Amino acid sequence: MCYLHKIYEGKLSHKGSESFRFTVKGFTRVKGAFCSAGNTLSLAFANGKKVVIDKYEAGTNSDVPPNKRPLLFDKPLQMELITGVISGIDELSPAQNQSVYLILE
Amino acid sequence: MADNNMDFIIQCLDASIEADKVYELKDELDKDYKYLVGIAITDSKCSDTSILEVVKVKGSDVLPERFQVNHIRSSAAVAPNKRFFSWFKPVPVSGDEIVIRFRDPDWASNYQLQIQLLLTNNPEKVCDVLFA
Repeated sequence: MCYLHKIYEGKLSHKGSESFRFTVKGFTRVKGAFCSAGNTLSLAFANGKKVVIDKYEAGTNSDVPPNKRPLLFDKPLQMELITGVISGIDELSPAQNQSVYLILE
Repeated sequence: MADNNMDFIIQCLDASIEADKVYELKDELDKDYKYLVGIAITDSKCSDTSILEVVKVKGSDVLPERFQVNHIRSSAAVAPNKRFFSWFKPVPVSGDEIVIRFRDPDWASNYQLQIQLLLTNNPEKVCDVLFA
């Protein structure tokens, strides 16, 4: 069974890009990730040592089934620090929050 | 009998969106079904910035707060059985009330919003189809 966790939410005020950190507790695997459309997402696991996603571009294609839109991978987890960067590629509204989600098991 | 392997029902919540404000949609979920396993919005005219501020059953979040509608919205080009977003733990329900708060900050004109909820008694079988 999967759990959806928001690991970042905020406005990309720092030149359209923000870094974030999140400590995972109580889950054994990460199954995927996604973020607000119009951004690129980078994620590193193992306290920043292992880059899993590098500038993944999140699109807005509503012709793709919603369950197929997240970037899926399968990685075992211990209690570890996840670091990431979300960067806007489109002209995003400065008032609009951008989010990053992990699919955890 | 609501007990077959692939037994499911799609329950719809409708609202007329006529302004940029928070709309609260409430309904009692069908008591013959034990799990909520999917949520969908199809071909809505809502803007890209639309938000599900809250989706709750029995006070617990089904989706994280302020979840962007774009993540669950699909076009009519998507097959009907693939339009549901299901990346959450199946939510035990049994006639419980669901509360959804919707807001379209870039609302421009009136439209009808329909939120579809997928209920089943056998989440594993149904999820196999949803993710296939």
